[in-house]
Amino acid sequence: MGTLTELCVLEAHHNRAWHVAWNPQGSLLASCGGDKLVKIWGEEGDTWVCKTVLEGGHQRTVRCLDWSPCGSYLASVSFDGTTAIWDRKGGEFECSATLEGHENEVKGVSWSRGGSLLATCSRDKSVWIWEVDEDQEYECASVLSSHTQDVKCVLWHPHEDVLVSTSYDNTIKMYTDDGDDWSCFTTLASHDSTVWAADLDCTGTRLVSCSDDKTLKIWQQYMPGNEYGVKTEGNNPTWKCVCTLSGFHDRPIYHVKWCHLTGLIVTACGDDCIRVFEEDKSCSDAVNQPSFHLLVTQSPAHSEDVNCVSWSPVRPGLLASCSDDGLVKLWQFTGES
Amino acid sequence: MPLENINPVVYQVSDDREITADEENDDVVDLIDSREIFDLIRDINDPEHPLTLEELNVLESANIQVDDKASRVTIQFTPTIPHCSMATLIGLSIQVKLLRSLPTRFKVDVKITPGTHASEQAINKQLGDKERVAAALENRHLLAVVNRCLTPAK
Amino acid sequence: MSFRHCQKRNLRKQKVGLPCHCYVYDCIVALLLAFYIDRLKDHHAVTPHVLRGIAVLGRHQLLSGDGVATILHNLNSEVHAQSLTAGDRRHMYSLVTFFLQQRLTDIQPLGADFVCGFIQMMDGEKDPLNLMLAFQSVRIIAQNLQLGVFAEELFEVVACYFPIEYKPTPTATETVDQEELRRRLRQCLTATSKFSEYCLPLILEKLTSSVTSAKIESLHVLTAGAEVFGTEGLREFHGSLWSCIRREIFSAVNDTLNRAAECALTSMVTALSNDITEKKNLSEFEEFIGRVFEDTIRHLREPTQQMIGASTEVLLAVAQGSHYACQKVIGRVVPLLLEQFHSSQQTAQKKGALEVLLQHIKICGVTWQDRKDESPLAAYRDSIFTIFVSLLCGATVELRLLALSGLAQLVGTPNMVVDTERPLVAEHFVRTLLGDRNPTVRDEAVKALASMAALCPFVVRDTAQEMIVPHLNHEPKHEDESHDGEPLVTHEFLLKALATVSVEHVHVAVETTSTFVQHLERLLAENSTLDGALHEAEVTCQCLHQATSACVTDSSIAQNLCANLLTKCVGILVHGALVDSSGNKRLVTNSSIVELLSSVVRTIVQNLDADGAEEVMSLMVEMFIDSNLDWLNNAAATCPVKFEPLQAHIPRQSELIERLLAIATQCCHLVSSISAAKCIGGIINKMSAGRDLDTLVQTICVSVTSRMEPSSVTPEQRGQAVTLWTWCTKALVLRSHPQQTLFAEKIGWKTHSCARLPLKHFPGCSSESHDILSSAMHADIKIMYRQRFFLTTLPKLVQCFHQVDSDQKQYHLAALSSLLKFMPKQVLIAELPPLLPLLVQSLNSQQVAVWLSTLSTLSDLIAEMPDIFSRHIDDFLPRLLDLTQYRPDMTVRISALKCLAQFTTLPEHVILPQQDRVTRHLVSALDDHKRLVRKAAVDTRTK
Repeated sequence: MGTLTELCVLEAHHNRAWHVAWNPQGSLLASCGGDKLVKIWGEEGDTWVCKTVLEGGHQRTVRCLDWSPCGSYLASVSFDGTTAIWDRKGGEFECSATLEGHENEVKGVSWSRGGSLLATCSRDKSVWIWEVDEDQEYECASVLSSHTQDVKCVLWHPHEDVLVSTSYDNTIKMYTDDGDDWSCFTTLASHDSTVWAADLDCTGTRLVSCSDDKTLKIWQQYMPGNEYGVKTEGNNPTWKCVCTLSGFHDRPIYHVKWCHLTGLIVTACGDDCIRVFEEDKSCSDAVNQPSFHLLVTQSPAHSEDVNCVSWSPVRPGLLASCSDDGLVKLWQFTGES
Repeated sequence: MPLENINPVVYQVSDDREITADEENDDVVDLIDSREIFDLIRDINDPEHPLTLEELNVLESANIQVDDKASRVTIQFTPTIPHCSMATLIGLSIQVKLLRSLPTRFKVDVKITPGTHASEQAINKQLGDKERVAAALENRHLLAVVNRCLTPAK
Repeated sequence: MSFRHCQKRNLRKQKVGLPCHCYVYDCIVALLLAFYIDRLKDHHAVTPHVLRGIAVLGRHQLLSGDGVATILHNLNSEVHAQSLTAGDRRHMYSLVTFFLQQRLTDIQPLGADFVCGFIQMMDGEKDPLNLMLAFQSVRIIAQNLQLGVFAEELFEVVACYFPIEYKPTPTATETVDQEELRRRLRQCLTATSKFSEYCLPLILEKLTSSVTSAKIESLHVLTAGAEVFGTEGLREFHGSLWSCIRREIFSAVNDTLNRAAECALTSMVTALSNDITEKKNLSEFEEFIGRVFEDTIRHLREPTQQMIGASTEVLLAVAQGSHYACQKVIGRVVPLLLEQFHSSQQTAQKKGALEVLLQHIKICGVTWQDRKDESPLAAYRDSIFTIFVSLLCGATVELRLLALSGLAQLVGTPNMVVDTERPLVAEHFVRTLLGDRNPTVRDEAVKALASMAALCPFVVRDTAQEMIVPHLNHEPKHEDESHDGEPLVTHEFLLKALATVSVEHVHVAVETTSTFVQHLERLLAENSTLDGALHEAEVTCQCLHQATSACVTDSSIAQNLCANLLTKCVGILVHGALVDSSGNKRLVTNSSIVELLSSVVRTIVQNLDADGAEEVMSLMVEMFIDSNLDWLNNAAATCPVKFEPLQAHIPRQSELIERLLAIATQCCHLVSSISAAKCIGGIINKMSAGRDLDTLVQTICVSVTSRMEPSSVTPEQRGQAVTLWTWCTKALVLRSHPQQTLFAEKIGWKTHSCARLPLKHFPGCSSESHDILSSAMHADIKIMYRQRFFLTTLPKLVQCFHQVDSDQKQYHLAALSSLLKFMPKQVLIAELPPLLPLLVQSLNSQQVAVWLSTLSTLSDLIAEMPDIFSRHIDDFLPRLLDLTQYRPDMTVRISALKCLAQFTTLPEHVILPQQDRVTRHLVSALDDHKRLVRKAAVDTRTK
């Protein structure tokens, strides 16, 4: 069991707050929303305050954000079809590039581990991979059109140049560069409805996904020639759903995050709640049949749908959330032994 | 040449809700009920015919479930014909009207009455996707069409 | 030493600073110029004064061409412009501007030297006033001088300001209009075709930025420049420009941006079309338009509505560019739409195709307006016409409605409907309005016929007389009944249809007035006692009134026809009254019929000339006084005296007034007594000043005052007295009679116990009435009468408001409200603000009843005076928002919400800043525990 303590409430956006993202140093939190703004928050004393408002970058809702691994760049994507790159020079943010190409709403963005690749996904059913050179010029390296419906979320593997995307077509897809071009090497199908988001654990061998079907699923990677006799194709690994968590959530689950410091999983749900899960340590077959249990349900965490949650990359248990009620909240999770 | 639903059946419109003594007594709490939700949306215009959703029987009081305490509303609407190309737009109009009229605590689900439309699943899924709905409402053209449905005819 | 030096410099400053206005010869001008030029080489502290001198000399008519060159040369070589003050620089700019405007031929030989000098002069200029002048100069330079190698530099020196943003500081004394500054900058950037190679990349760069205002401004520049740059200039860029324009129009983020993009597109098309006589330019044009078609035409086939809208916007913008482009667009789009119409299965798609088609027809009509050659629509004319005609019998209501509006539009488009087809179209409209089973379609058919009446009145007149009028002569046929047993087309509908069509053209109206009179006579002769007959007669009168109003707009027709009509109407009234001695209820003496026919008579009389009016007047008075008194008790008496024009003499006045007074105070027939009171008001207003008038006023004063006291008479009689008093008051105030104050004060809201009664009568008197004491009825209205009325009554009213018990205050607020509404806007702007604290104070009082009446007063005023409330929104909004949550009383919450809804009618720039705050407050009202409050909140929220 555990508890979530509300540390502070930030009146962040005039309407819906869609996404929150920590910088890699954990010192800044970025939020974005329906008011077309991106806001940067920093800690001052025992509270958090708005350091900067990034205006004018987008003409419609800003849907998603991601910091580059070095923390110097922030990418924001919007329903206006563009991706903006904000360059942090001497503490000031400046829009240094606007990437155009998607036909309509861009819904997700993610930097690769080395910061040399950027992925975006859109309502136009495509995933775009952009190459970043030393001069911060962005070049489209690939357009992936494997999904049959809009792509909701993209994320990179923590250690390899492997890309994951989730979609309205109920599937999750993974891509690698086969030396020639980027291509999809596996499709993870098990959810019954839109897969809103997914996250990899710190090893990159496990994936958690959340869906409109109100379930969470845990997926396990099996390498070629694995000891469990799971079939693989070519040099690519296979992913299998090893655990489904149903009955915990009452409405669609919009976001999920796997903490790389503590191994805890947190979810953002349309029933206004935040929930934290932990893997059972005493499980007999932790690889092929893991089990998870609920540590805490914060009910309600917000007065409307929770859209996004994010673990601090440096402070164990520190959590940020945002909601349709326009608020961003910070929470501290404490476990009870 | 075959036309789509050329002459729809027009249904009798229900009378205005009578104001009861309780409703005028400030000490009584009036729970939000299905009739109240119905009154919010019955006058929405059909995008195709110069008629309201109530007149076309697209909406019926009986197809609305409300739980005020739990803040849930479920609405089922019935397209006039199983291939109605405007079903999504109708659903969207209902959603927008309730978004503007109901307390924010409510969770609203707008769905097609089971078995009354060929693309029932697809449309339900689309209407349930709040991200798509939000993006649609930022489109000037589409919003204009929705607002036209929401502007009372008289 | 330094002291002397300093003194001398001051002295020099004074000397050189004295401009010479005296009479000078050309040699003196030259001498003075040489002197001033020499002084430019002196200490720089002198320079500003020297410049002022040169500025005066430079404008001297005797200054030679060489003098101009010398001045310009030395200004460049000796003066470092940007180290002077902004004011001193202005002298230089204005002189240069003067030279460019008046002495251009003297400058032209200087060529590139001058251009280079000017660039240096204005480089780095920051002052907006100076920029206004500098931009003006740049435009003239670019258009008239050899730029040589300096073309790019000249462009850059102004381009660096683009897009210019200027907000005057609050303390600035001289300000510049930002729009004008922008316009001048645009004129510079697009001054010459030489700039195209620099300007177009600049536009492209701004268009790919994310700053909306920069995009809009760039598109304005493109709109202004496209024709200047021509095909040659656009050649390399039109592809990229189109991509940008397409993105803006298709993403549809901002209306202003869309408009700007469309204008730019039109302008580009115009430019590219201008040069198509050359073959290579023609292919350039074809390439551009091909690209546009490729990106838009395919969307017209798609069922998703948003892309059709945007694509249509694009195509229409292109079609407006030139005749050639219009031809191309029509040639591509119309066959496609026709095919789509025929092949699509769904009503919505058919309708969509036709709507887009109509938009194109409209644009083509406008573009081809002044051309003699055949419009590109000619080839499709027949099929389009056939489609719309055949749709009139279509299966769905939507398509029939569309057919009507489409045909109406076709009639209005040159060459779409030939003369011989017009009667056919009119017949189709009439047949639809008579026979369609759907009431909306029938109404729309009336509108279509009316719009046609404005264009071809005779066709419509004849068709209407031939096909509609016969239906009035018999009862609606049985086979025309709809399923519920009601006739499909009633007489009422036909009458109203005729009236609607009439008001569009006087020639139609002339014909219908006699139709209406005949119909009315027939109805009155039948004298049915059924309610339906009364209603039909009322409708006929209303229609007659409408048609008459349309007739009198033409003065030549008015005199003839109206005299005829007048006799008929009065004849009907008097005849009806005379035969009514039996006391039977008769249609003709019904008060509403009398009232309506009176208004027809008034409309005619208002437009008669003086002779005509005099004649009518004596006729009336004779009738009124000499006839049998029996019929005075009937409402027929209401018509006569009210319409005397100012000049017309009233015969036998005293006799008349005596009778009227008796009727006004004693007659038990309400309509008669009120009419008589109005008549007296009218007479008092128009009597010439003097003893007669004073006596009359005195008589009224004595006889009426006592009757207004509660004790002496019945409530009805008191009511009559108060009515007469208010009309007399108004008549006196209008003509600014000395007794006006006395009358106004006695209106009597200071009597605490019965404040209600006079206050109830007050609104009627203080508002404008149509039948009497109005300028249309030639009343004697001295200017500022509203102000006088307001100022004489207001202090008393406000004083009483503060004196009376709080439970009476609501009546005073109501009176105040009607008084305020009566005031013209200009006066209220001055008078209302001091009263606003009173309203705020009322809202903050302890009395719920006072809140409620204040809220209703506020609701009325906001609609009337949006400007004032826009400025004081902050005074009311917080309290109003509080009251929406006033727990103890739901009626307060509801009224506050309704009042708040009124605020949403204020202009957008006032509302938008408050929107968030109000919406947030409404969140709790939407969740109120009372359903009725929630309903009001929803109404406010969704306004």
